[in-house]
Amino acid sequence: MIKTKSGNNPKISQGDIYRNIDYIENVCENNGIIEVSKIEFPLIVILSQDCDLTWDYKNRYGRPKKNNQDKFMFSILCAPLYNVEHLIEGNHLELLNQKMQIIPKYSKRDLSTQYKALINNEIPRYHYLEFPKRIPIVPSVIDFKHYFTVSTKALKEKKDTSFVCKVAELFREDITLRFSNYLSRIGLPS
Amino acid sequence: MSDYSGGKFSEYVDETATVPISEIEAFTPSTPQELVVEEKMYGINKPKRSVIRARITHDKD
Repeated sequence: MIKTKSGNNPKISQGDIYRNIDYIENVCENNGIIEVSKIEFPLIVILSQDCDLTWDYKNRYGRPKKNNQDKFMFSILCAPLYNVEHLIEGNHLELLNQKMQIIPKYSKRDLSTQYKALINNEIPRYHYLEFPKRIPIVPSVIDFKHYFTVSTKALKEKKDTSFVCKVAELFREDITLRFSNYLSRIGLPS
Repeated sequence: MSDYSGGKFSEYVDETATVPISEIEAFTPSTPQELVVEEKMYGINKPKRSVIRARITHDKD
């Protein structure tokens, strides 16, 4: 189980978890009708480096006002959280018409080797998170293949209404270390 | 993806203006256009796709 903090600071931080965040898929115009296609993720975790987020915040809102925007970030990196029960059934993206891999939970009467590897964070692609009871989030998984960015300004505007909790420093570092390892893996020809 | 600095969208809003998409909401209250928004939502508790359609028309009055 991870540790979390509940305080909602004005600054967006690495490890913050937000609910109902939109990813803009596409914007197009046809005969005067603008069509915006977006995916709403029920929960996301912030992956951007905390020092970058701190400097962005200080540069934007600090006093006295800076005379440049050198530390501004256009967007913030984040990853969706999926309900682990949906993920192992491979149906967590069914509303996006995507079938995903099934991870069997049981083998005979015991937990399967694959499932145990998942919840012990032994599969590089996934990061399992179990939250304290006071946090209203079911056991969840980050899929490191899925990440996107949200506009810094847009996320700041949604912060007060969408903030759920903050993953404690040690556990958030674990997430970003495993994410960066996964991202920097080298695909060698077989 | 369309280029909003030209083409029909700009013509609908203001023949002389260059209007980026981010300014649509800011643009509508102060100008004689009508914004029609249609949103379709699918599903709950899992990531879901929505499509928002907005049509900007001239106010004939």
